Amino acid sequence: MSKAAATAAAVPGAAHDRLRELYGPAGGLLLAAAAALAVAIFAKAEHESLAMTEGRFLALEIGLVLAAIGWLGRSFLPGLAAGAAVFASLALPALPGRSATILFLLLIGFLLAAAPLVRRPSLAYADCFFLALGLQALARPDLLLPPWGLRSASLVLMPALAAFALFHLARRFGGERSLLAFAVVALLAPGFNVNAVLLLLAAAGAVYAGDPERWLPSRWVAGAALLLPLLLRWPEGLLASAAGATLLLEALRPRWVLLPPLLAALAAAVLAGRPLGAPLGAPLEALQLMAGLLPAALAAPGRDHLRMAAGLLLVFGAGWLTADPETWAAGGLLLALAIPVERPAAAMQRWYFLFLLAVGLGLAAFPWLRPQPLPELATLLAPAPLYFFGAGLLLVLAPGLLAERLSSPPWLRSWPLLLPAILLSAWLIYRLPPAGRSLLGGEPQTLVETRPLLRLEILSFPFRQVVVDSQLFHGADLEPGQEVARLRFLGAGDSELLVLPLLAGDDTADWSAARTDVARRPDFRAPSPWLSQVAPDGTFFSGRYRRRFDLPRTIDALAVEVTRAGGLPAATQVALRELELRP
Amino acid sequence: MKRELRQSLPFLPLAALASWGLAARVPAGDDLRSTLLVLPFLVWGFDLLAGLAAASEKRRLGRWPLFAIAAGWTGLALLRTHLGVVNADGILMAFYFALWLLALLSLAPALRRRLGHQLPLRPEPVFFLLPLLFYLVVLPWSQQQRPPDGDEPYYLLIVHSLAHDFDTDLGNNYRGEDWRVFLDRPIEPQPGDPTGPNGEIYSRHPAFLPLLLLLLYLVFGPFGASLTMCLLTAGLAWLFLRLAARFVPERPGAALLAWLLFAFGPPLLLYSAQIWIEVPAALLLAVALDRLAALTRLGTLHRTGSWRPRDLVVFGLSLAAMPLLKIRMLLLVFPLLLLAAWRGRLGGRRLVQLGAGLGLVVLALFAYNLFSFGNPFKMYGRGDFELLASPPADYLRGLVGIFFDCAFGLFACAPAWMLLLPGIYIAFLERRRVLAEILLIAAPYTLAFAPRLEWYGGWAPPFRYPLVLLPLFGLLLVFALDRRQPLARAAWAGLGLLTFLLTLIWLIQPGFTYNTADGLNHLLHLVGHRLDADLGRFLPSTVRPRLATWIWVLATLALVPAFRWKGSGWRRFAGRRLAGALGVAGVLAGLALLVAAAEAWPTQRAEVEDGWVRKTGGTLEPDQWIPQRPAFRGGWRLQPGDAARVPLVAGSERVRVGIVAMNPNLEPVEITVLAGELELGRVQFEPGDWQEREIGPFDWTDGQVLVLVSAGRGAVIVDAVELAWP
Repeated sequence: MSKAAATAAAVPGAAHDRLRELYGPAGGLLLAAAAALAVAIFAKAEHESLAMTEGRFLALEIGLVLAAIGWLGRSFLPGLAAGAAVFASLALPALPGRSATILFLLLIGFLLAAAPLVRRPSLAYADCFFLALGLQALARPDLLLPPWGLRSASLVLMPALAAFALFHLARRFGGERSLLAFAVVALLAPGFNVNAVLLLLAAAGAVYAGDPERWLPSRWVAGAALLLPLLLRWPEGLLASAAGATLLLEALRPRWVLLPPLLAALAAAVLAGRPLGAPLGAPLEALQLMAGLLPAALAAPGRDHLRMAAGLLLVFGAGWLTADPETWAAGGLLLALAIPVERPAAAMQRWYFLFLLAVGLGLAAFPWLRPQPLPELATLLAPAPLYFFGAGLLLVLAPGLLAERLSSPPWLRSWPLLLPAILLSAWLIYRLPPAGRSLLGGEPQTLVETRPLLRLEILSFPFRQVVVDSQLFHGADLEPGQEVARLRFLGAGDSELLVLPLLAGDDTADWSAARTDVARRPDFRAPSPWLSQVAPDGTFFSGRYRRRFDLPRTIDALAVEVTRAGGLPAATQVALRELELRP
Repeated sequence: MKRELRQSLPFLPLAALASWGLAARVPAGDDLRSTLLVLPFLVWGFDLLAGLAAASEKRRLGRWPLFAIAAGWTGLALLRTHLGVVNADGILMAFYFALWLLALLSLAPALRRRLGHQLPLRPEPVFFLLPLLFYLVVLPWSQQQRPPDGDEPYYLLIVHSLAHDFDTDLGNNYRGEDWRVFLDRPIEPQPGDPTGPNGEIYSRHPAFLPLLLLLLYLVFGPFGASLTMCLLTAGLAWLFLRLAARFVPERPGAALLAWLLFAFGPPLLLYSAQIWIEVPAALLLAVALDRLAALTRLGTLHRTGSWRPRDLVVFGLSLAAMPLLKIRMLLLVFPLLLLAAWRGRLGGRRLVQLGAGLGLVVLALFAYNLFSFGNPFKMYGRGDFELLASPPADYLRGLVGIFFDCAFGLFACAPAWMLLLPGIYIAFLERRRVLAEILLIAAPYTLAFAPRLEWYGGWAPPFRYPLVLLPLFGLLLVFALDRRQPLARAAWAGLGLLTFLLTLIWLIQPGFTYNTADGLNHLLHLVGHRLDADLGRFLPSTVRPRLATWIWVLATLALVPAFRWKGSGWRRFAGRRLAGALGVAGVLAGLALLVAAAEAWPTQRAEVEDGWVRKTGGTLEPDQWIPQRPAFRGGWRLQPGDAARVPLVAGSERVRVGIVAMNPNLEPVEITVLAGELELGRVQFEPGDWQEREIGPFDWTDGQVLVLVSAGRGAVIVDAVELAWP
């Protein structure tokens, strides 16, 4: 040992390290309260009603997520997150940019605070609760909007129940597997809705009931939780109950473990009206998923039967019963509980998983509000969504196995671990759309009856994609598919090179599409919003919509004219938020 | 070292590959391009340094997490144009710098262990390399966002002239527009620049700093000059620890915290790549002080038994070099010589030799100036060196402003430096000799610039003139950071967080550090504009002195003794950790209180040029960068038809309005006063100097906006609106 190293080793560093434990859990909660209060005061000082409403929403969101960060976070993280959130809400101008910044910041803080839980062999209930609370606040921001009632109570109640389930799962499967399963369920819902919580409770009930050291009557009561999904949510609960039963049998009768998923698959096939002998054409995507999963799943040691059960649930159950990704949760939960965690690559795989979690949560969070973040992510990045998941899971599972089998020196052993990361990063970067040219330059334009035409010059920029961000005002009564505006790309001498119509319900929609009275209209249709913001009355999220036109060939236009359609009602306004050309 | 290098080296080609890939992917005009291209190398460098710092220990931030974070940020940077987020560049860069700072902080425990029980006189190279790495992290973005300003282009032009013409005559360089090499706006000779008999144009700035920059400038161009400054600043950061080893060797933990603030926090960080003489001067001062400690009875431990001739040579050379940077540095040389005589073990003969040598250097400098420029002080007058020539109020104002001013003061730039006050207090109570020595060194220099109008530095980030003394102040900071009592803990947690966040703002918006001498700073203008609230009236300013200035000073000084409160009973009540949370919560509550007060406290005076007063038309008066700006009353020039809207907080239901304005025309002008849309009356201003006109009282309801519209034929310059609420 060198002299410096010897000196270093002799110093009681931890005792001097005042950065390590700055606040403590109680201090963290105090910071969350202080930050929420400060942001609420800033909101009160705003002079525009929209900014004020958004500020109030942010105060609540910040308070809840910071409570989770404050409780779970170590070192200076809670203070830093609180300070940064308060600073951002004070210094940044209101509306999407500010919300996005703050939510992104909270998301990163939350992930950093929650990540160390993965390494813990067991979890305390309070930790589970604050973890679930943070996830719920991020993934279900709609619950933060008034009117307050029973629905809002699920903001706390559902995390409390989910945390209870996680606490029990962790006692059997350890922290890492349980947290992965927990996060998979939360991401696929997203958040903790009734289905997700019932699945978790069924799994936790099965774990409790399968523990021979428990008092027998209490095991019977816990075992009854297996039936809850089936009874309360038919037929979606079928898979959740099957997953719970699988876990119970895995503890009590391992040989029978495939029985519940097989029965569930049979029931799902009958419900879906598919003959069992028919080729697996419909769930082809699920097969693709298996193609990605199987090599990793089969190569990994231990818990093979649980992985096979998970596969059955994923392929047959979810594939036949419904296309809703939420039904993948049961199989995902089993799969996560089955992954091997004691490997040299475990730490790196945690990072892969955290990456997926971060992106998924980010997409689910305000202001993006994707109701199904993971499939959305997949469609953004890959042609066949399930390939992406398969590849992702393969990346999570396989590298460790490979590294384990290499006898190279430790520093060289890391290369097989790194390679998938490099390939994935390169693929992601390759798939990213190239930067385009914004024609509005950040200045939104509104087409009204008295000013129906907007002409923009394009200075030599060949393009193959056109992106239009827009929203309508007073446009809720339009027929779905009705043209609201037309984009005419003009060449030399104003010759028409390309015409793109913008259709209500498909390409754009009214800003208030999410308002209950509008959304419930039988003849109303709206695409998923690209970005959302809190509506002026604070009761719903107003949307702005993005339509990307992929052109068959490169266009080199000199100008574009956007014309409001002639047949629109006089009050209808077409607001263009962004008009981007991409090469 | 070899082991860490061996482990990290395989990743270097990978970094090059990633950089190459990014170069192909990121278009040339992208603001983040240079940051993205150097990122893989910087991450590799950090990985290596983290390995060096942690040695055989387990790293807090492992290699994979580090790579994953870097990859994640890179992905976001490439995606940012598709996220629909306004100002995505700034937001992403805030995360970028925050992640770097956090990565550096994650090394703190390992670095602490490297320092041992007693600070080593020769800190390990990692204490030089880590600051250098961070300065290089900051460099691409800051250079891209803020081209050279103030005196910087002139220094660069001298370097350019030295490199290409081998002289300091800039006449041909101005004519040849050589400034285009590093600037996209033209520059002209500065007022007072010396000229030669044959049309030569010299710079007022000495050539010593350009000579230091020359070598790397020849290799890398303007980037080389910035790189040299980064190297010098990193050297200063390393020397700070060496000085701490001389003066406070028994407090390694607190010294490390002080080093973190000194090296990675403002104001030094803001100057790390900027071309000013203050950083090299501080470096020379630190070298001189270090050698002096070896030569004399300064310091407590690590004293060598006897001094070596080499110490004397280095000491003498550093003293000789200081006035070559700027003549005013003589004001630091004299007290150092005095200290050498006072505490010295040199003996009279050595002292005389040293003094004579230095005298010769100074005489040679004066003679050169006299013969070249006709003035021994080049462009300064003798009055510039008179220490006690100004009224006491000017000294007080300057001294308070250096530390407290919300635009140019040290504490506003980096609030954690407020711990300097308790540091001084504790050093005083502990009767530490270092306090007297530092005061002796700093006093003449501070007294020279404090009463001058340009004490704040101008055209530069805050705390420019006193920056040379920052290492000395940092040593005093150690005494405060060594405290673990509840209030101390709360103070450094709260102020540390505030400093961290402000550092991010200064880094992502380098322009925000170049304040206008108008009593506010850019951040206050921005937030005030957004909330329509006058926040600045509650914060100290000595450019525009107000009651809050003195309240802040007195309140801060009154709180200093509480720093030593031992917290009897506190630990039983709340535990040690809650103090930190209370400190941060106090800062957050303070921000909320500031906004709430601005919304509730009746408006007494509105400076029309402030950001929270909305103007439709008109221009700032006088120009933002006019020399000696504090001597002018700031105002807003309203052309006919232009309006200023003042959102008032009502103090009662009646208001009397006073308008302070100047009419630069030859005939009277009028201002129409309105409450929203309702005209209240008109006031007339005669041609001539500043005048105040009163109008009212009127009925007033809270929430109304006072509007001033220039109604005459010519422009009118409005300074302020005075409001009385009877």
